[in-house]
Amino acid sequence: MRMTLYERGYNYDKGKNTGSGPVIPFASLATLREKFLVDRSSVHPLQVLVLFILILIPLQSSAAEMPWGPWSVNDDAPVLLLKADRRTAPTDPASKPVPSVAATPFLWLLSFYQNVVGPVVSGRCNMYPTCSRYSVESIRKHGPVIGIVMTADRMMHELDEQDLAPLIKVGNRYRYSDPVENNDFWWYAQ
Amino acid sequence: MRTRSVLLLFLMLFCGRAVVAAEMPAQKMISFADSLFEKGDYYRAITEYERVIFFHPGDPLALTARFQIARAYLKGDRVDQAVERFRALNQEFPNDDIGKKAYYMLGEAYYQKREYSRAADIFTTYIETYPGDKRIDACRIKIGWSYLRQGQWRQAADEFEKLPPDSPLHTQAEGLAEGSEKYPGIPTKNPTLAGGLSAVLPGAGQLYVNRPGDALVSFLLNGAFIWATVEAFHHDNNVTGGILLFFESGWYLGNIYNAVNGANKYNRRSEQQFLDGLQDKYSVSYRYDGRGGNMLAFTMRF
Repeated sequence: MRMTLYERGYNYDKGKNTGSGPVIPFASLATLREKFLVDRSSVHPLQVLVLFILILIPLQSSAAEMPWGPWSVNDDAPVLLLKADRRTAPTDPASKPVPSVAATPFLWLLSFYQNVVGPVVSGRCNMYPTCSRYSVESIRKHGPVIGIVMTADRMMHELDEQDLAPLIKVGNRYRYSDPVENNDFWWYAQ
Repeated sequence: MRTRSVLLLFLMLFCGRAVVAAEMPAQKMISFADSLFEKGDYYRAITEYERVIFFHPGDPLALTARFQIARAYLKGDRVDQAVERFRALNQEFPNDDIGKKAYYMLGEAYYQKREYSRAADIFTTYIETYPGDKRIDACRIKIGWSYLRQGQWRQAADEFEKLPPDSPLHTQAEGLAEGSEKYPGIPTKNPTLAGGLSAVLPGAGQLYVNRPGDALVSFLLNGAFIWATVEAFHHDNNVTGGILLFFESGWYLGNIYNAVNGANKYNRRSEQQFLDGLQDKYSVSYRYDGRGGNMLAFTMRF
């Protein structure tokens, strides 16, 4: 004959909420045993099996939701990224060239465009990186004068480059890959 | 009691599986690792090869596993890690076949890394260190290719011609030597001329390098801004004229850069197409079956 905890006179009022977590009822081990093993003689193997299945199902579903792939937190055990992942992976901030003082106003303007104007007129650039991103990268790499010239070049060569550049998937959209290195390789040693 | 029995049964099942995994022979482990490698899942393949090394450190297959790990890194584009491992294997076993193979693959790794000069040095050292080895001819082909990738077609042709007539790669080498002689015939565009043309007439240089879309954009942009600037100054709107001139100077310089850049891209593409064509026609490569077996694979398109 099963009984609920309430029927057995379990005193919930003894539980104390410390404010840092859920209410933990103050109960002796014997009380907890009573709670979970209500009537030990009536436990059927099928019940154990069901219990196992119930435990395993949420584990499986959470595993299925997690993106499956190599991961690492240790440089000694690195992961191999797919080519497409590497293209879209964020670059190491330490490897970014430090902009000069003269470049700062241009970078501010570009930042203003990216944050204020960009969201309104976004989606027009078919290239990767986008023209504003390309401009930021070229100014950071070569300074404001060459950076602006390279930006003008980029805006002019978009049309023909789409017939030649490789198509890559960035996020949920295909773009033509045309990084800064594709346009300074003939004069700038990496 | 019955509950305990069921729990015990579960435990036995799980423990049994764990024991089976630990006692798996090296041969089976490496077969699984090889299958992952063949699928291109290099990351997991490395783990499985490491498993072979961990559970069977004394087995000869552990050495094969080490070699395969280095190859997996190379195939997975982790060239620096591959170089490190190939070098370690060669230093540990310089006179064994695995050490020789590792040294050959070290050259391949530098070649893949586009460090052609270094790759040529490695292959040359291989020939000097292991005279009479079965990979000598493949090394010569690779040296030739390293020269060719650097644009040194004469040296490349000389290297290809060094292959003896009784070599199984002689036909390929002959074809490659002949192909190398065609290197100067690769169509190119003069970047200076392209830039000069665009300086005189925006868009002209782009037309010269076969980029009509860029030519049109460049011509219209520069034309519009030059016209607007002239009109502004003509109507005594000096401030507007100055702003327009500032923008136009950017477009104008960008137009010249665009033409020079286009010419260099054209040349790079032409060279790449030529070399890819040659590679497709006379491809030679060393292949490994993962058991230490070698295969000299060559293909010839006709």
